[in-house]
Amino acid sequence: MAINSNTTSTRRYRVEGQLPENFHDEIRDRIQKSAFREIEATNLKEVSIGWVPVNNPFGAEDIDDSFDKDGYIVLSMRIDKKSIPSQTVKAYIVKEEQKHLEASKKERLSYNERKSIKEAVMVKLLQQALPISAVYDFFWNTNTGYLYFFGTSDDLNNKFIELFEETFKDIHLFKMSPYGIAASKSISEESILSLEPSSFSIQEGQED
Amino acid sequence: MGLLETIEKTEFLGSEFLTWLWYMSEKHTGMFEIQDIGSVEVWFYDNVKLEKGKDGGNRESIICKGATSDLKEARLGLRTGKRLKEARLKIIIDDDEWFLTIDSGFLDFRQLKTPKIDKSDFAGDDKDADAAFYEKVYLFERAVNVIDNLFMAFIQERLSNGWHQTAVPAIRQWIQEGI
Repeated sequence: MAINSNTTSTRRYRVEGQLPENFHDEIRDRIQKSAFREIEATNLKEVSIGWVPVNNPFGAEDIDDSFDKDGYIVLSMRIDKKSIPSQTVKAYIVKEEQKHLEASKKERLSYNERKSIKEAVMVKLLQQALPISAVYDFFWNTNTGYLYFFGTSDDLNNKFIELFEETFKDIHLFKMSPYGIAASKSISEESILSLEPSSFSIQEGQED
Repeated sequence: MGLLETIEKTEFLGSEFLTWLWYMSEKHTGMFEIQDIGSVEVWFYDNVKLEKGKDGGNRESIICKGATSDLKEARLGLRTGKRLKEARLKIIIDDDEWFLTIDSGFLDFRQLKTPKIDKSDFAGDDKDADAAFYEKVYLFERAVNVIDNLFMAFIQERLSNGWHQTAVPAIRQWIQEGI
């Protein structure tokens, strides 16, 4: 798992909200409901996101109790994405359009014809495409309430927040930040918001 | 004010924290006293990134590399109004060393390297795998604890009258002296 890697990059959250009474069983049920589902070859869905056990990206169907490590919830988010390069899509569309022009002996195709060709090409290519998989771990210290997600891009974190909050319903993620850390240590929002940036610049003057 | 707006409005505290930390590290030859941990060394190590401007505008950024005392270009950047965006730190507690890059935005930890654990101690069954996990998590959270404590020391000073009267002039002087 990511934490055992030589170097790790994380974004931190504070988990907020009422944890369910029967915590372990409830959490397991919710994880299982939002477990990862493979994109079937005939499926045109481009992206699939869900939970898998850490160290076992293909174990979504039998998520056991290994996610609960005595005070820590440890799990991975798997994202599968079917991706077709736009140049490939364009090339196939041109080829199909030429076929249609020759067959119909027309000089040009209508907007609707071009649209349906494009859709047919996308269906064909998506059915043939193999998804690209990626797995991102998190661990949640249920005693401190801090959760560490092993990914730092905004886009990835937004996907993680969405899946987490969809899975755990009444539990929310509060992004840690300078404000978040101060707020979690009982510094009031009012006093933090009263601060204005200081200038350390010698040239910009001495406004402080 | 919404949460996102509050986070954005206070984002500057991340880069001010890094500037303060760099100054404090040099002033106290890296030594800090941290509650529940004791003596901790924190050094700016190897590289820093500075920025000026915002998303969508004319953003300038520079990356400065070198030993602590050689980061003159970075200090020149601070002097001309650039702000610290990222800093590579080295934390030492007893014989253990951590390396990490802190991003000023969300104070994300990047490329965190914890002290080495002896993998041969944890090479057996699942129980050993769990023990290795707990050991790594302990080391990881120790670094978080250090940074949180330092950040709170900064916030306490930042909210005090001493910030404008003493800290800001002292940091400006330190920037000036280092060029």
